[in-house]
Parts: sequence; structure tokens; C-alpha cells
Amino acid sequence: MARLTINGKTTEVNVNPSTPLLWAIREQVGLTGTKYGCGVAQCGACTVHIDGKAVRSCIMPVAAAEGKQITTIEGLASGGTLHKVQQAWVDNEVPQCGYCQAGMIMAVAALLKDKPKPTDADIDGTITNICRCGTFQQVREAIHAAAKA
Amino acid sequence: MITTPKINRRAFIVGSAAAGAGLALGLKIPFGATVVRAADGSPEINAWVVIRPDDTVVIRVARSEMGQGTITGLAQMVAEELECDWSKVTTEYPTPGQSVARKRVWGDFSTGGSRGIRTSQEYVRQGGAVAREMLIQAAANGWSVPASECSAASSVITHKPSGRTTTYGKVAEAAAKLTPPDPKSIALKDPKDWKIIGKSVKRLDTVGKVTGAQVYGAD
Repeated sequence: MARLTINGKTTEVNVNPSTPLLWAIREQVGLTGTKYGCGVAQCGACTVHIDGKAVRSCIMPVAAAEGKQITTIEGLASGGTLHKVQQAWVDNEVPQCGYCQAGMIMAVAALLKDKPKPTDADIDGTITNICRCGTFQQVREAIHAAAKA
Repeated sequence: MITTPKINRRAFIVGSAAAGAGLALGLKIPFGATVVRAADGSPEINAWVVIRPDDTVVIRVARSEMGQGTITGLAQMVAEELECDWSKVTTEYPTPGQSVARKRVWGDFSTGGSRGIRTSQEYVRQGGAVAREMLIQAAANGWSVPASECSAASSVITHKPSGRTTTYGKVAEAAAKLTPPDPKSIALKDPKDWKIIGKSVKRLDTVGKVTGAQVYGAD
């Protein structure tokens, strides 16, 4: 058993404490916006925020997330208003298949909190998420657009 | 060495899809007085088109959206013939279970080989055209005028001689009770008259993909 606080709601999940947080989020809590990609923290599809920092949830044990504020893609918008990163993604039509984009957006939202006006070098250094459709140029444009918003 | 059997499989699937699609439209789209309803209770004009009282048009096509904009492109094709207001269009995927229960009314579900648009374009346009004719007929019945005196544009039906107008949302319930005309009896629009097909529009699937709402196979 573990108590997780996800998007402001505390839930008890009945899993082994070493279970990756990703599976608790997807399968126990039922928030499927966070995706499984590689399972070895390389692709970033599973990125969530833990106390505001971008974390790849596929390798983080549930036990390490207890007592912390977890935010998933479903909790990024406030009410009916999209987060500025989500809005920039819509305005720039970033997603193709979209599978990696929840993780991409969570990583970018955390980056903009640390660096409100990131340079291309900051983006290259921080946003290492992989997109198989190859939307990297659109991602970069949308990050700059979100930074200006 | 791997690609050869794949191409063969695709050729087979698409071949069977083409055969199936022709049949699909002739199949029984429910008609008569029984109104088929979407999950939210809105009347279904036919398998492709559900219209809510607020004029929202829900277009249902069976090709998967895998990132190339297929769902938006096919919705544009239905909307073109439907003569609906594009800003009120949303899309829905029928489930394979619904498809089987309704004798594969949406045609083939397989998606691949850059064929989503090419092999569906004719029957989805016919689906939109049939729905448009039913909506016009319902409005004409309400006014007790011949349907030939009425026309539709941007979800508004106009009776030309009297200038009366109504909207798709208002006549959807009555249209859903009509017997659909034979799709072959309706001429599809000349491409030079297209207003929605071929235009670069915002994709309809973007918001779901940035909020986590889009459901994938693994979900």
C-alpha cells in the first residue's frame, strides 16, 4: 500500500513499493495520459512532475513518490484553461500521433518554471524527450511561443 | 525481406476493404420511425453524422488517426457534402463492437499504407450527402414544401421562395426518422465547388493530445 497525491487528490494504491510510479498512475489510478515508452528513462513519454520537477516515472519506485505532490498531464490545465505550454502546442499544432507529447509538455512546463526564456541550447540540454514522428522543430517553436505567452 | 509479406498483407486487406465498403453503404442504416441515438441522446442522421440540438455535428469515421491528420481530412469530406458549419464539427471513433453489431456500416477499420483518405473518400462523402438530403427533406416536410425548393449551407437550411430558414440542430430529430435515400441517387459535389475539402484547417485531434484525453490502444 502506498499513499500518492496526484493532481491534488490523495489515493491509496495497492502495489508493491518498488512498482514504478508510472504503472500506479496508469493502472491503479487510471490516469492514462501519461505514457509508457521505453521503460528505461530514455524517451520521456512517462514524464510527470514530482514537487514541480520533471521526473521520468517509469523508473521511479512508488515508495519514492509518497508524500510528494505528483502532477500528471491531466492536472496541468487549471479548470477549463489550458496551461500556456498546452496552448502553445495547440496554436503551433505540434502533435502528430501525440503519444510522446504528454511527457514532452510536462518536461517543457518544468523547464519554463526554471528558465522562463530558454535559449535553443537550454532546450537542447533539457528537453531530451524522444518523438518518433520527429516533431522536434515544432516543439522548439512552441516552447519559444509559450515562453513569450 | 520483411517488407514483402507486409505489402501483400496490405494489398489483401485493402482489396477486401474496397469490396466491403461498397456493400457497407447499401447496408441497413437504421431507418423508419426508430431513431438511433448517440451516447448523449442526440439523434443520429446516419452512421456518419450525429447532430446535437446546439448544431454541433459529430462525425464518425472508422479510420484510426495515427498522426497524419486522417480523421480531420475524412471529417472535412463528410462536412463538405453535409454542408455543415465546420466550426461546429467534432469527431468520434465508432468501436469495433459497434461496427460488428451494425454490419460494418462504417466500412473497413484497417488503417495504413497512406490509404485512409484514398479508399474511404467516396463512401464518407456519400454518407455526408445522404445526411444532408435527409436534413433538407425534414425541413421541407416541416414547411410542407418540396425539398427541391430548399438548400443547405453552413448548417442552415433555406426555403428559397419564402426565405424561411432553420438549422440542422432543429430538424435533426425529424431527419433521423426519415428513410435514407439511395446514396447512388445523389450526385457528389464537383471538386471546383469544394469549400472545406482541400483547405488547410486546424486538426481536430490536437486538444485531446495535449491534455492526455486521447485514448490510445495501450490505454
